[in-house]
Amino acid sequence: MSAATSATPGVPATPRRAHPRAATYDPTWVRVLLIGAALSFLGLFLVLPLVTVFIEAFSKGAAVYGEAIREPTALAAIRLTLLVAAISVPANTIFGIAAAWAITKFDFRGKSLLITAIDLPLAVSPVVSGLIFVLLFGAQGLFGPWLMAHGIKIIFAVPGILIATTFITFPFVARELIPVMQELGTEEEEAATSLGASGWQTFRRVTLPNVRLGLLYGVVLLNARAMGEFGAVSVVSGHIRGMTNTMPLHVEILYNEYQGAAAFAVASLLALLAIATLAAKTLLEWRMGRRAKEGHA
Amino acid sequence: MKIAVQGIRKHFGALTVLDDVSLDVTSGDLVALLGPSGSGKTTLLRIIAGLEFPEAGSVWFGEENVADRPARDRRVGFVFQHYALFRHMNVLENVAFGMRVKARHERPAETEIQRRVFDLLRLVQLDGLAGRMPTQISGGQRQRVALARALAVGPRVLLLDEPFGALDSRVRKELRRWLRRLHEELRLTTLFVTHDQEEALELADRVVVLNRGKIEQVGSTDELYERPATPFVFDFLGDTNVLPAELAGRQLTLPGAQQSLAIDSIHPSGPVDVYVRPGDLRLAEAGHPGVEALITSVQRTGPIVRATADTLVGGTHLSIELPHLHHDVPHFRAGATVRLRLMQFSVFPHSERAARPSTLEAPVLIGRERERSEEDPQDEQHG
Repeated sequence: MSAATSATPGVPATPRRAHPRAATYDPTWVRVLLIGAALSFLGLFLVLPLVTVFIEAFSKGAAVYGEAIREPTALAAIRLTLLVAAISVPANTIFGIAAAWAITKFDFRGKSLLITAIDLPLAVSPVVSGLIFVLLFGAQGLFGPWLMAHGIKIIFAVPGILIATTFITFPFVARELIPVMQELGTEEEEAATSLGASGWQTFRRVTLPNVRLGLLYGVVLLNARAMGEFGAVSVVSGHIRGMTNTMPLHVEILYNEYQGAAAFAVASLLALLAIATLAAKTLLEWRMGRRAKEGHA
Repeated sequence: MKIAVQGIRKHFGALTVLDDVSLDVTSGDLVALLGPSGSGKTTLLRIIAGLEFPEAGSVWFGEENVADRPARDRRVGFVFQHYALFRHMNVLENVAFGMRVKARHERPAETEIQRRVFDLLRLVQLDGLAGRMPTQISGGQRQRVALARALAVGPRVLLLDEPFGALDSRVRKELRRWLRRLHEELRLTTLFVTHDQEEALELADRVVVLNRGKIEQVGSTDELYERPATPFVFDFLGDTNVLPAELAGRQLTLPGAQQSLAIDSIHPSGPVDVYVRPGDLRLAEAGHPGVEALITSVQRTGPIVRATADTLVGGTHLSIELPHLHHDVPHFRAGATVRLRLMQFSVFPHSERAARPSTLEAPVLIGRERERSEEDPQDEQHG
């Protein structure tokens, strides 16, 4: 349990016992300085912008806010963003688990290549990622003529947005799981196998419960990026209002049209989605923690 | 269940881990696989369990060749060195796991599973801990949970990988005796891996000594001590002195000795190495052949007096051990010259690397002489 927890970033460490003579005890001024620096940094770069978004969103009153998010193109953007997340999150969760499993449990040729390839979407600029898909699937692209002949539209359409988002959010789950699985090793799985469990039973009953915190964290990051991705989606979407605009793209258009309050209204909604994801993660963590404690009774 | 492995070969890359290993284990025996790290003992155990697959050879459980069967179909109980308990399950869930993953038509009812788990926990003396998580119990308790979990599936054989390796010595000795009693009770064919010769000799009916992917010798404790097949076995089972000597026919001449010893030689004459344990060196009485040596140090450690000496001819370094009440002890003083008699020894063909016998390439025993003086009862505890 402790191994899984400590290997997962974002999980609060055990609170340090208040003991004045601990070996790692620091003078008061050091603690005040460090905590103060962390808190003011957090306030300046995280809380302040978030609060500003909401203040701006409601700057022209609740009516304008309500109108901005009830407007048909805004609703379409919200729907599209949720659709993209609903498809790319499960797809990349499954891929991430499979990749992490393959990398940590097997030895095979091209393993290091796979590890590098997983990082690729994080390494290249999202704009470049978007352009790659235009070059592949666009009208003048590699597969363009064939796709056109068969009446399939990818670029400047929803499939393009899905592909670009899925590509960009490729690494998150695998990146979270690989260190956790490496630390766990294969002994528990071997034990399950020797006790007669099938591969699927071993995965579901032994592997998955052991990596669930890392998996949860990866999925949260994945979801946040899937809903918030701008660069790559911007290149492939074509910005057709009500059709291929996701929420981030819609915000940009509104902003460029000097509809500040409306832009911030949609932005605040996007921020709320992110906060809701974090809240869901915290809730799940809390429930898992409680279940583990019940086992201790 | 009788177990047999035949002609097992296994490589990890360029490294030969097991080189044509064959072994028979009688049904109901408790067998130790003993060897230094890298000798292939754990790999052999994992091959029997189906966690590793050999490049050649077969594995037999009774009359059935299981070499191609995956681990989940072999019905072996495997206990891992670090227990490998499922960390997110409590003790009860751990032990019940093997029964709960069975196919529906084989799976016992949940009440039956619970009943069996509590029976097993009683057997391993852990009743009352069913609700604990693995992190909330001690190492020795985890080891016993792992054992109960392995026994829960009704295994045909029990395999234990360094079962006591991670425990402190007091718990280790306790568990060892307890496991021996449990074995007498269950009579399940059991193999365990260890690098600790004391553990192997105390616990096992038979000991398999492995070195560099080959079996050096299989035998009971007595056989290994009385008739070590190779210098490696002799050296691995305890402290060792190696004396260069000359063999002519059946006559063995120790360095600087006036008289020769008669042994039942089965090998051509020539230079040989004589292996003798520190506890098998005593003062030689007049008329007995012996080796002259200069005592360099004497130290008492508890009930044992340890001395070091250098032979006058050849300058071979010797370690000597005596019980502190032995009548030879007063003669062992630093700077004194003594004549030492080899009470019990083994003779092997000479090897340049004899100083470190574990590096020998499987030499053969060519003769052995055993002398024991009847008038010296205190030798018995050291023989």
